[in-house]
Amino acid sequence: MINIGIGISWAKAIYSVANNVIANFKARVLSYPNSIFEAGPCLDATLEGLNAIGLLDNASLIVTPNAYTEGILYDVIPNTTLGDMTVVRATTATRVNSAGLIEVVPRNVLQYSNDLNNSVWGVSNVTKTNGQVSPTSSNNEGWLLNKTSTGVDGAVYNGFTISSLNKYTYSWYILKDTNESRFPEFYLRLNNGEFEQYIQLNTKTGALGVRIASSGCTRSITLSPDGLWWRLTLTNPAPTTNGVDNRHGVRPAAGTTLGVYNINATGSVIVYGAQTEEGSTATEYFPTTTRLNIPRIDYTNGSCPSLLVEPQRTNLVLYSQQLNNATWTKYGATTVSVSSFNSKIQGAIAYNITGLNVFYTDRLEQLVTSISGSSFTICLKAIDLADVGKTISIFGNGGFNQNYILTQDWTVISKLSSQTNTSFSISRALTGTPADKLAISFIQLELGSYPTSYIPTVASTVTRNADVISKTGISSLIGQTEGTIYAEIKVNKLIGTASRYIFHISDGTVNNRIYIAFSGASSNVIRGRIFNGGTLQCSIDSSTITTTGTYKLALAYKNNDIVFYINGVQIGVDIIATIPTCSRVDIGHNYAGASQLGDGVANANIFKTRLLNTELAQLTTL
Amino acid sequence: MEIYKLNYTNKETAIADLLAKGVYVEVTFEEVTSLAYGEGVQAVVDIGQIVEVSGTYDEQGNVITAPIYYNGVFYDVMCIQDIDFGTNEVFPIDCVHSFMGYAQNADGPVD
Repeated sequence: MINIGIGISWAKAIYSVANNVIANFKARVLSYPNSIFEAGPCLDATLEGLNAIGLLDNASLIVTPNAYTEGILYDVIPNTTLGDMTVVRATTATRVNSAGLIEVVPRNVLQYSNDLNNSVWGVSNVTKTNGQVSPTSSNNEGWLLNKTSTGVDGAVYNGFTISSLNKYTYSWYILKDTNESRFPEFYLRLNNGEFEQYIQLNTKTGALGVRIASSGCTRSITLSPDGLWWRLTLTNPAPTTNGVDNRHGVRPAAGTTLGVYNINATGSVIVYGAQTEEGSTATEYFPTTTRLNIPRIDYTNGSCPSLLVEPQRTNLVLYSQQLNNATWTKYGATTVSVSSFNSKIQGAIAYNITGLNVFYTDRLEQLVTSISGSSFTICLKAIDLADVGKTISIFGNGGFNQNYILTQDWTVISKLSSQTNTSFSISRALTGTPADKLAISFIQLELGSYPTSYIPTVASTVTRNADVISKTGISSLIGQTEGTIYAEIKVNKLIGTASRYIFHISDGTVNNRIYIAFSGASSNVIRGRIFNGGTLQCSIDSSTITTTGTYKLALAYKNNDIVFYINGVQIGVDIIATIPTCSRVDIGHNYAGASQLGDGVANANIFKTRLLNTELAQLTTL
Repeated sequence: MEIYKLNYTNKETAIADLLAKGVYVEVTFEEVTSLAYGEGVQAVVDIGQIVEVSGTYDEQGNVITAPIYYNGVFYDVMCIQDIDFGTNEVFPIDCVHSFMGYAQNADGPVD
């Protein structure tokens, strides 16, 4: 027993540092309301890697894409609020989730989803009392909703905005009780009542009474494993427009006979975790406040995520995933129908485009305003296996014309158009073996030198603002006379010549800064640079990057002793340089919150010493 | 947060006014001067011209009747501060542009 014990202790000793860091990190993060922790095994691997080369204890700042809430990306080290990064975007956005599907961030479309005192919740003749029991461990986050008056309607509802015309699914936790003298009523209303359902619940038995339900509405209920909470799920069909009146609501007491409305019913119910989301599945509850500043933990091309940091962009195409809308003109024999394929977008519908028998004559087209230098993105696939390898054409009336070969799986293709096009069209190709049909998940056309993540649109063009991930006033976490900045990035696209910052420390001005970035002067070149007092002290450029994938980058600095490593290889040194004083950290952009990376950062670290070359080689080895 | 819908005679007039009101600031960065967002500005969207009456086209995409545009050019600005844009501020009811996560016609204070 003793030997076994010693063996276990010895094994734990190797990993205990990383394990303790993760345990402490999770404990801190999950003590905050509305915080999210994900991809734990990926964090484990990252920290074990640092620990294995003896650098985990040396890091003064470690930021990974694992734990966040609205407006904050939590730091692993120092694991205090000092290193927590501030996140500002002021819009929602999309990401590729861990299932490889595109989803809006956050997927819960309700603002202040569990703050029923917030003004986004409409209320009439109901009292609300928070601090009730809830299904989340020991946190008392449930709400008691009580209707005490007869002869009046009592309701609480959240009015929400929808960004695409999909099915929507409502869910809410309701405390199981033994009260059968009143029945609460839960409702989901879309587009001014185009699709709506009002469902009463027996909170003792879980029986449902359908009072009102539009055609196509469905519902289900489950009991939590501990037998204490119902989770009611309501799913409504896709509305035809994004009407202004969309509601997620409840009447605490709406009947004395299940399924029959009674204005004189009184009583209460305890609820927790309101959520409405795209698609027909109720996923894990995602708590929200404003919904606007959530960092994007993106799983593009990998099981471990990276922090997606992108510039502001606007999708100029209307009804970007509703290709049966009239804004998409079907010329000639072209037909559009709902596809049997699941879309690349979580919960959305894909469309089959058929009848592309003659180039140009048969085409799907939308008139758009496109300025020279636009990028387009389209997610497409072959409908039949026999069409794999056949070719379609995407073109604009400004002269842009590009052929693409259909594949068996959804493929997101992107291209920069140098022409000014006022139409966006899809037809069979003129060359290769032309395809007369294809399936499409979504289409995006954006002004910019490279394509970015998907922005769903309906009746107007839509802008996603730039991601800004920064922290000021943290000079104590930055090596002032010597140090090392390290970043691991996921390069998913080779963009060419564009100034895109990866990891940047500064005093908040252009004059004093240390950074790693893609060069704005050379195509697909990564550089390490230092400015002190406005004077360029050091500039070490890589050779041209020719492959996508993971890159590990470290810039170590000390007076007259600078070295830059990429993927275990020393790129260059500079022996004449002075070091600026820095207090601000920016991840994925520069000190001004501009020149976003347009790709993902998987790890960003600061060490307050100029690491040894052997350590830098180990740190950056893939 | 505030969303402003703006209409100017042309792009030059727009940029001059946006600079004057601190929406844009000029920055020189690595010897290149460009426009950046001023303090508190989250986004400036150059919408350009807006079609009032759609054009018509034949099967080959040739113009039969050209589209008719509203006068001037349009911008949407999102910022945290109140700014008086005077007569340049407009209040459309069926907006052609919106910000992700906001209602299509979101305008004025939005939180």
